[in-house]
Amino acid sequence: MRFTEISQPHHVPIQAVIEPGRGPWVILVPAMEKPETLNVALIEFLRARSAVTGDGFASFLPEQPMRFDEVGNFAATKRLIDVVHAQHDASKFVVVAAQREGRTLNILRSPAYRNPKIAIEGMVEQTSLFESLPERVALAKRLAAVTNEIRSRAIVQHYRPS
Amino acid sequence: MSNTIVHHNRRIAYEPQAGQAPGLMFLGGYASDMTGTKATFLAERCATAGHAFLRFDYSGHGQSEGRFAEGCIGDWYDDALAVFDQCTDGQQILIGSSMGGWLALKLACERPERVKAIIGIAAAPDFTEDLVWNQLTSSEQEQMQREGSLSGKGGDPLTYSYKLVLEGRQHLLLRVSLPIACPVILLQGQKDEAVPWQTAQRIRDNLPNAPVTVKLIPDGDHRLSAPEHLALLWESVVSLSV
Repeated sequence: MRFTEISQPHHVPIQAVIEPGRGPWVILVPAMEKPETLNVALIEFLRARSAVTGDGFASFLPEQPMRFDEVGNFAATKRLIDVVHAQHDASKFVVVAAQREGRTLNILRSPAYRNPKIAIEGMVEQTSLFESLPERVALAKRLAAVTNEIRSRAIVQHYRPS
Repeated sequence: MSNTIVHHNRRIAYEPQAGQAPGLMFLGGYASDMTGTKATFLAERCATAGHAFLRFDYSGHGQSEGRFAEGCIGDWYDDALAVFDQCTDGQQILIGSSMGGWLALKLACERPERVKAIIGIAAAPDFTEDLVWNQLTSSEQEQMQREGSLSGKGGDPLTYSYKLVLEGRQHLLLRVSLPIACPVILLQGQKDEAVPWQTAQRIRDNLPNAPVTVKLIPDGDHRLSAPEHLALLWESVVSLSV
């Protein structure tokens, strides 16, 4: 799996994975205070899922594995979404986060940080869902339900008689 | 000789250093002044790095006028706000130590557009209520009310007036969610005998719309002035000042 370096304005670069595809894009907020191998494995799993489903997918590796750094994690997540929005014309996202990282999702959607040009749905999951293959498969199924529901909603809106 | 502004008939001393944005403003702790280890360290580092920096003394502290024993949270907050408004330009990173952390959070609520980030060093919002008054026995509370102040409690050399406790109740923060959105880093020693490390977690819980990193320092005391703690402080400044 190849990571692409994304520069943050004046910040350390993010080691990111960006797999272009259809919307809504799936964004994984990596787990803080976890070994890098766990995040790499989960990113690889969701990247492979995206290759099958055609969903756009993006994530990154925390700058400092095993460290609690919500400020850094939030800044990198926001930057990643901004880059995907700008470079791939994406406007709908499903942000997946473990419980502890769920705050990042809430802050992204708060008035101070909300981008009116994009819509963010959230999936805040039990951390255990990230840690074994059967639980990751369960996560992928829930993800499919959420992304399909968003696409269905978009189709209904598109064809709604005016 | 420090610069001064006059606010509410009090002469408030401050030390500005010119430099690039964002500026840093240091808010000291209860009964400390701007010549302390952390303020001096930040002044030196900012001079080297070229950051604007400002430190000051609350009324009744250091070189500022006023009687310490008569001061209370509202007075010192007014001092901080006056210095912030009159002596700084552009976006600021507020660095609040202990009580200064309380005042920095309060200032960020009132001037959100000008506060880029906050660093709390053993930040102690609501300490007059949670760490002073609520820690007293009922007989100590009666003594404080009767005599007007209490000192020497639990080996704490500082004196706390009953007025400080009463007036502090008008400024309590951790009873509701705070409307702060800027990034916040909280440095907190786990061997802090004045401010329990769980306070940092409480602050985070009350900031639902701000990214908050709590850096717990296993061997850290309340002062966090050891070289390794100062290095961590500067690392936090660097990460927020870009």
